[in-house]
Amino acid sequence: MTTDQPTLAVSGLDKTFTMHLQGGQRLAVLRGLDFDVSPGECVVLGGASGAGKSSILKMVYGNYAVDRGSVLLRAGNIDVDIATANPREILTARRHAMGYVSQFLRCVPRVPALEVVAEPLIARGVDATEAGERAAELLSRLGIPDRLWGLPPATFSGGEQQRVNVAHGFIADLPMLLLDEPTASLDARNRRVVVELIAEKIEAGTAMLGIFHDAEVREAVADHVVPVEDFTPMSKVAA
Amino acid sequence: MSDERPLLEVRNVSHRYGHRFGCRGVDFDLWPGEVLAVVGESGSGKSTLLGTLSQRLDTSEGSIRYRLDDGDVVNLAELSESAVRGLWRSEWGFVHQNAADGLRMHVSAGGNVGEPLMANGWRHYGRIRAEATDWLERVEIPRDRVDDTPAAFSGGMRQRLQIARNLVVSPRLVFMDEPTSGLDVSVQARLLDLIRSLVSDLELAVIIVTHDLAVARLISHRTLVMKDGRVIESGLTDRVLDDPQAPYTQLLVSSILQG
Amino acid sequence: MSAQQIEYNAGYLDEQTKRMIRRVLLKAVAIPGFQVPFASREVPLPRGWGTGGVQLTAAIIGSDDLLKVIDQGADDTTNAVSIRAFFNLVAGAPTTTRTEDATIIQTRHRIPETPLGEGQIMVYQVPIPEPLRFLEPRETETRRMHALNEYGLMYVKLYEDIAKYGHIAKTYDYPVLVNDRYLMAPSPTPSFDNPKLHQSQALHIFGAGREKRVYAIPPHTDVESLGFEDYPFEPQTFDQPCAICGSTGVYLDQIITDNAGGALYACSDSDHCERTAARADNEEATA
Repeated sequence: MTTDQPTLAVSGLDKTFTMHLQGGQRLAVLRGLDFDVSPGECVVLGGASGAGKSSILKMVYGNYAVDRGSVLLRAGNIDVDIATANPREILTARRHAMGYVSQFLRCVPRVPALEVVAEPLIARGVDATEAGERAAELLSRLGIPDRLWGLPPATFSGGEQQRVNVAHGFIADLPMLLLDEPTASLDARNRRVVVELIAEKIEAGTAMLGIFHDAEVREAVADHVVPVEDFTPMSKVAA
Repeated sequence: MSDERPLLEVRNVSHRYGHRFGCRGVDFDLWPGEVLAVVGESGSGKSTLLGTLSQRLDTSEGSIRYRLDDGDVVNLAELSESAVRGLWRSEWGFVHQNAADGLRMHVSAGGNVGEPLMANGWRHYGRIRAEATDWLERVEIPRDRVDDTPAAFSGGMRQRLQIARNLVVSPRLVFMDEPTSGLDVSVQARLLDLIRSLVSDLELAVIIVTHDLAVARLISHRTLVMKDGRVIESGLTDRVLDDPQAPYTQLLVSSILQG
Repeated sequence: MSAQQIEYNAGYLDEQTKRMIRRVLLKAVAIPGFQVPFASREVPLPRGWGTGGVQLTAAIIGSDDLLKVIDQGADDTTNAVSIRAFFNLVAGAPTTTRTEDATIIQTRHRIPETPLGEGQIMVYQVPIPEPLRFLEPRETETRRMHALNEYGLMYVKLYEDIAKYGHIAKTYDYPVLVNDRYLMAPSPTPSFDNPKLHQSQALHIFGAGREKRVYAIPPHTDVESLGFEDYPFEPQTFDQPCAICGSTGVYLDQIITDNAGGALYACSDSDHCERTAARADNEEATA
């Protein structure tokens, strides 16, 4: 075990979008982004909306292509540069080392909430009964009444969906967790629960990378803020 | 990862209709347990590619290597017809868009699901029937419909029956050609959910052709985008759909994924 | 004015055609149960009425043969009488109704009750030679299935019977596996007669004139009627003896006796029935 090594090391990251539907217009989003996230550390991406914070999370998770630079993920048996890894390596890294809590819940329709939440554990080989119990525990903690557990989350309110989403993201014990505004549509009570969950994960040694618009939450969890705007090109539209 | 080699190694594969290429220069590997979506408009060559990979069409150029259940790797073009049909019986499945193409419409549901077992040498009526009935239940068809013919089934039930008929012999590789198109949206969702859970329970490798990017998003790990017979973009499904690079993929994503 | 007598070649068919059919027969005998295509000819009866059987008989019959023809087991029906008369005319072959004396027995359904012996040839008139036809309409596909020994589909038919009726309901043209290799339709013979094909001492040849196929079971060949382990093949059985001759363990026909629905059950094999009855009468007389 190399505890001093960062779980995530991002360096020299460039990203430009080419919009072919708008005459090949190129939109440079990031230039030379560097930062590390160590085990037990919570790094927050700071900056105004539109600065490219979500793009960074998506590049780290492998949803966006990286033009230049590296995204090294090291945890357990995983040692991979997401920027150049093939799909199979990225999927392996996600399964064993990296979780993602998006702003919106995206799941197969018709699947009950409890199963949605338990799924990441089952996918990692946890027994279905145990996974169900842990999912139930997490859902109660997040204030989802048990009468909703058997229903598909597509029928839930925005806040309830967000909490199911948080539970889905937090249930597995992964070394690296990416959070994209996990508290955006939550009330104060549930925001506090999420902050607690984050604190527990950090305590357990999880490396966290997040975007939090809510200043209160950010204050509560951030060890370090990356000023994303420092890596945003002055002129966004390049030839 | 215990599997050292891909299940399927596709190299520079083409199929020609006369002078015209139906698909051309296709390369990819498929690993056990992996779901690969092939997307594109009608006429883009995706069904031709599926036909070529599954040996229903001949391989005009390139090679397709397949790792057999016993570990041997074979070049599919070099297999005898009987060996290919042997693969169809025991290691492969094919789910057609139109269930009537993949079912015997005047044979009972039990007979439809039991046929692959009988083709593999099962000769005990009671056991064949029990296995078929279990599979009907797995695809959410009531047990008491076992003696009804698919002619009396709804579109969604027929498609689920076709899936049961394909999976009953525990194949390793399943080809699916637009399995959900032509169904109502709610029926589609149920079918996708079913396919997704069966695929992960059985660790199937699946190549699914679809024009519906939402289908690719929900069930595939990787996506190939085809246009004019060629693969113009490929990669992790999330990556292809969230950050499409090719002009055509951007058009496809912007015109279909509206929500 | 005297009508001019038409001179037919011996056996009606010309020598080249007979030679072609014999070659096809040799191939059929060499590959038991395999359907060999042949160039079916016109014969003076309609397709579907036994033209295949007539051509086979024509190709093998000689003046030293003794021909028996049965239709539903009976020697005295119109078809049987006409075909016997035809070969008597065109081949000069004497005819008989006695099973054990015949060298060639042409049949539409039944295999006689009297056991067949070495040197005898059964000729079958076959309407539909392909056992898989009703399940798979494409000839290209059924040929492939035969070539690759893929017979799962035939079991689907048996499965469907059991699912529907609780037992295998097929009582005629019951599919058999010949010499552990080819699936074969025994034409419309009742399943009652299937066991007689297994390790028979006689040669069985099958002709389908309309479908242009010939196949054969040589003597001493394994012929297995298909079935499931838990629903094995069971030939038809009859509870009562023949109402005329008292035979048991034979195939019976239902004969309607009056307008009130009264019926009796009697042997379908008229030769067997008449002789058994005659023997019983003699015994009675001498007793």
